[in-house]
Amino acid sequence: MNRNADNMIRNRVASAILGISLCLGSVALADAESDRGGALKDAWLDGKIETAYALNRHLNSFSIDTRVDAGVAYLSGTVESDIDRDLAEQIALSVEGIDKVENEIEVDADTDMNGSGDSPSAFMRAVDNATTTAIIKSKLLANGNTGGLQINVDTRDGVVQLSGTVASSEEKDLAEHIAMNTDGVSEVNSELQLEEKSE
Amino acid sequence: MNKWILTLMACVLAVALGACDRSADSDQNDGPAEQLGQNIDRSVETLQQKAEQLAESSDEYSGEVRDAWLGGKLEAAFTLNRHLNPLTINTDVENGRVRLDGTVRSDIDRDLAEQIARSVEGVTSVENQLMVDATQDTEAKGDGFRQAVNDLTTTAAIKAGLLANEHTSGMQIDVDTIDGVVTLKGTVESSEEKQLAGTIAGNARYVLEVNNELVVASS
Repeated sequence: MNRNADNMIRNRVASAILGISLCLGSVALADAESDRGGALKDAWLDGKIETAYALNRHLNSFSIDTRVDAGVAYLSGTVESDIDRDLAEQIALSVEGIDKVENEIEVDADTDMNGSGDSPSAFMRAVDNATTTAIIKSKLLANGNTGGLQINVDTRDGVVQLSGTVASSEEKDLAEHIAMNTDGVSEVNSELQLEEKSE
Repeated sequence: MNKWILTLMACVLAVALGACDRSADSDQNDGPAEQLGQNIDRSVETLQQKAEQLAESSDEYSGEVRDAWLGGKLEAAFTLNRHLNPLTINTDVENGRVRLDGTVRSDIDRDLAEQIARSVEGVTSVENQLMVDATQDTEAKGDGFRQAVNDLTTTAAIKAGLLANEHTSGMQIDVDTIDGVVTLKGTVESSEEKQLAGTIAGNARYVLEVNNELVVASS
């Protein structure tokens, strides 16, 4: 009888331990699952903020480190002025999913901006050039008098190169005018040729 | 990051203990305990170096977390673009490989989206499945994020411009930009200063209009 009671207690303890560990186990699993989802979301937000800085004409030459943990953005690094520091904070705050920003960015008026002066990063330049080219091409396509023309457009740091053949000097002027009047363009080098009139 | 360090620590200890077994056989001058001590010292040094390296590289993500990070970068690059309509472009990242699908309004936009995706650091390849639909709305529509970033940047540019000008640098001028419309508030000492501040604001990029509400202090 004693032995039966012992066994019963032992069984109960065993099932209790099993039960508790199952509970703990599933809690741990659920935690791990939400941790994983949270880590993915945080990394996504981190990538979004980093890129918003990388493409910003005021901030892209500074090295700002970003980290996101549970919707809180942690910013560090060095910028040139309080204006830049505030801008970085406000951009991070305007990202949907960021609830709070811990701004530990330091201000140093003499910061060398990665030794690059004011020149934008290669990434920003590549995106800017590709976008300017696309805008000019779209305008040429949309304009009835230049649409369907074979004009090559190439942009490097705001300098647009036009090449190819057009039917008349009016079309040539129009294409050059369209390119020059595009935001972000500082200069147009036109190598457009007039089509040889075939008899 | 913490997981990385823990894993690293476990590996380093395992290697240290393993190395201890082998070197205890070959080296008879030192006892196993001294060997273990030396190995652990060396391992701790390696661990510190590794931790420093990890801390140095800001992009410590790996696996699907890294893909999510790249997804966020692409999202921002498309959303902030002044030409593309980001709402119709879907991105999918797997092991650094990007697949784009959805619709754009022309081949030009299709190429632009691909070029932008390729220029994102960490993207290894781009599979462009975007379809062209010429009837699509021609206006680039952001989700509010692009306009917010543009307005914030315009405000910063004007503040920097006011600060850089010797006639306006000492003044307390509030600058606020909403959808490209700038409002200046505060008190200045002369109508010339008020006009100058208005001109600086008006010359900033992407400014559509300036509401100059600066008040000239009566002397």
